[in-house]
Amino acid sequence: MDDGNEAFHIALEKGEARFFRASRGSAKGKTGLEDTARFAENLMILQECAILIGEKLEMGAVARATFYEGDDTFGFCFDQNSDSQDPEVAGAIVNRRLPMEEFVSSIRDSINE
Amino acid sequence: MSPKTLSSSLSALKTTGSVFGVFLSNGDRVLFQDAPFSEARIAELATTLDDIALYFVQENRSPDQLSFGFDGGNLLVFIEGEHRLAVFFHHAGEVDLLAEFARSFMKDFVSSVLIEDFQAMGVSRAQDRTNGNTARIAAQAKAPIDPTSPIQPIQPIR
Repeated sequence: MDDGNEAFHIALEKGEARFFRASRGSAKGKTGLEDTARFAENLMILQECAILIGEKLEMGAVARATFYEGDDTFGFCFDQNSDSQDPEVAGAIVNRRLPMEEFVSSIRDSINE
Repeated sequence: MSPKTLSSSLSALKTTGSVFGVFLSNGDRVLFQDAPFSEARIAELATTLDDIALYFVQENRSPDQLSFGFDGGNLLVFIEGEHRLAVFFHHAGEVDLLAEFARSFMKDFVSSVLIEDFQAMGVSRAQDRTNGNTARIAAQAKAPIDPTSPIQPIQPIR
């Protein structure tokens, strides 16, 4: 996957998070099309899960979500600085199991960079 | 794991940190719940988590720990085969500590289920074997003696 993308390759080698942004149904990242498509797919799945659970239990809107799958950690959170009518999402994937709180903090930091 | 052990383990989890609800299911069957939701909501949660887990299986995906931060609280979900554990809590910063406790419980619980299944299977197989032997001995006892079968010489006992 994205073997030709240097940033993707370096992130995998160093176990660093690859950051993405999404809004208005499209996602962008610096680690290649396939990696960005993977982020977009995970984002849709996790948002769908959050909506299903949130609606059933009336827990309100989802602000962030994370999951572990194999050795990967995936997550996203809404950019609170973005327009509420057109919210932006920031997210990341990393090829190791980072503590979830640390992972979400790194996504929030990426928003402010 | 006995129902009493299950209940006491999950009740202990319920009193950890800012936890305000615990839920355990097998498929869409609720095994334990202590959460501030109506029975109907809990039943819906069981069905929803089951649907989500099945979706992942169909997609050949295997996430085992998910966490969600809602306006009204946080939720940690573990998926282990047919079993799902959900922990509701207030403080998002507790997610990793609670995950450690919950994962430890889940590991013990799933191990005990496997042992119980194995023991049940073992008893069942033993019963099959006993029934099989009994049937074979009964069949042999009823079988007519074959006059053409050669008689084996009796070996002296040393």
